[in-house]
Amino acid sequence: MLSRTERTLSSIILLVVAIITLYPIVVLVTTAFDKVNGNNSSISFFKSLSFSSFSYAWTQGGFSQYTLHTAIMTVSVVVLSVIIAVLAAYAVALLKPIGSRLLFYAAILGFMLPVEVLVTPWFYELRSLGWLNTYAALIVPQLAQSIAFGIFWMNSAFLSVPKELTEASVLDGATRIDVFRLVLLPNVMPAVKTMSALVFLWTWNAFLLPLVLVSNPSLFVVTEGLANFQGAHFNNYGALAAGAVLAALPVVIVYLASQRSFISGMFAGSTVG
Amino acid sequence: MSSITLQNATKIYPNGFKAVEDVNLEIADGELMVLVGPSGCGKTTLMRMIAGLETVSDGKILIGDKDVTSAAPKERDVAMVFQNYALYPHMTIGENIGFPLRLRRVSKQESKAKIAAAAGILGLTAVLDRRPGQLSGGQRQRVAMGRAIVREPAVFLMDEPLSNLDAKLRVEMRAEILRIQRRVNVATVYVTHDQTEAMTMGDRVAVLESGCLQQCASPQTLYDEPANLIVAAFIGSPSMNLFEAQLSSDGQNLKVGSNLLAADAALKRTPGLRAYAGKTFVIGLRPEDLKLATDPNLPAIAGEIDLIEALGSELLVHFSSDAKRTRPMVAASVDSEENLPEAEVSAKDGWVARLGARTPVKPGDQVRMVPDLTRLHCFDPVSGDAIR
Repeated sequence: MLSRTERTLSSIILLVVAIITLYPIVVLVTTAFDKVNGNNSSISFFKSLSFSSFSYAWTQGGFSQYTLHTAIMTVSVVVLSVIIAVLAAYAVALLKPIGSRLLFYAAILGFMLPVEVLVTPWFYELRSLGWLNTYAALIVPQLAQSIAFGIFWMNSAFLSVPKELTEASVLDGATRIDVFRLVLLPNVMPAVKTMSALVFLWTWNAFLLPLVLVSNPSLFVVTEGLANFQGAHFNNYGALAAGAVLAALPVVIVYLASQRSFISGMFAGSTVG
Repeated sequence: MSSITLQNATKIYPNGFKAVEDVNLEIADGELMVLVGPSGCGKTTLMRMIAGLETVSDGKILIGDKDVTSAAPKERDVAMVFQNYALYPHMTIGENIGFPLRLRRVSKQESKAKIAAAAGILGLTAVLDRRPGQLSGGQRQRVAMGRAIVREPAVFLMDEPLSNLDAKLRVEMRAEILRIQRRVNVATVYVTHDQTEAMTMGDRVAVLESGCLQQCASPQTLYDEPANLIVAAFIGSPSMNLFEAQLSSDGQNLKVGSNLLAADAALKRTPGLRAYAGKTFVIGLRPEDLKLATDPNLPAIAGEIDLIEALGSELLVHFSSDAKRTRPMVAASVDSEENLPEAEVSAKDGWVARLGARTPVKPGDQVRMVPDLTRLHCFDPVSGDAIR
């Protein structure tokens, strides 16, 4: 049992940490609700409750377009990486074809290398393919990294399903596809959800790869758009804050919606070697 | 409904380990065959070979008259109950039981009726909408049984189905499994390392050790006429007393340690023993075949009591003598010995006698035990085979 002093002390520490974490967010959100006046170079605390900064950022600032591009990129990456990684991990974990170990280690290497290392080779490769400034440039590199992570993540999920479940279903008369569809997939679903959420967050927040591979403003994603917006509206804090909120909102929504499976999935993954 | 035939069934793993060697066995339709043996004897591997979950390295497996040696598991029409039940955690109990029917595209109406019937037999009607995680161990065991019986398979396989239950539930489920097996009346292979389960459940019991079939017979035959030292040591709890003995060259006396016994009864029961005149062999005596000597002149085995286990209905009296005990390798892994007090396991040259509950004995007493030589078992010391 914690003593009263210990409890008080830990509450104080948590409070301080919470304030440090929440202060910038509160400032950001309240500033975003400030009126747009084009010459507001200070942060504000609940001066007003106006959506004008949001509408300015959304229309004039181009965030409607940025959000659309980001959504197309993110949804493509999430959907494709989940499909490919789940199937590949199933093969690596349970079917074990020749060379699958090699594929697995290649996958681990793929997501261990930082983006900063890979961005230059990606640039030259995509340039030689003529894919710079296209959706392919936004999607393909991130898809590759997400698949690499997904194979690693889903491999341990498949290995954690007891072997007897597969054997029992085979004896019950299941074909290989039945086993995958009716027994394995439902059992690894928490891990699939967690993977989707993680890939969504990483892809939506990606900055360096889009910055290097897509320089045409007509294909900017929110992170690039925000950086660009900051340059153009350095003295309009209300619009800047609104842009930042718009950029971050989907991530927050996805996180809150998937919080439960997120945490249980993290645990499920952690117990397997 | 079919029989199962194993012809020289052999399993050799890629690393060269022989898990099952040359097993010949025939399990009749409706028969409950128990495969028993210590851990690692190959019994589960043999069952998995019948199921098709392990490939057969050599030999043949027939179900009915169909050769299924290389058939896929689902073509064999076998149902298996796993040690950990292997229930699908994401399905309800009803869905679990009905899963084999769903895969066979049985109509919803028909499968519903079959699930209800199986649940009725197993007392699961009230929990059909729950998930396996919400059930007790005994209920999960029943669900696993339900999933196996619902599709009316040709063959039933059970891999230590009771080992995860507590002692009381195990006794109840033992009876229940027997009842269900009689009801569905299909050839059943039941794997266990628990010899009480083997003796109480099997129509016949096959004892395996190191991948080889040692003996296959009815429980009573195994108990009364073990084919070799391994079976003698494995079947029976407490195990058979196995000691070295010599037959005098004239065939008159049996010498156990320094004790002399008259050999005529033993020779009458085991004529083959004559060939061992002047040689050493192994005698086996069940604990109930030793009685406390009342007449001091009667030939008996003298010893000192180390330990007494009072079971209420009887006493298990552990005593030591100067005779040399034989321990076949398997005995070390026999469960009943693992569970005994350390004193018994470590007792040098210890005998066990099963005496009446009110026999006036106490630890430290010098006793003389008279063996019932009409029930003496004799084994060759080298091959371990029973001398007949």
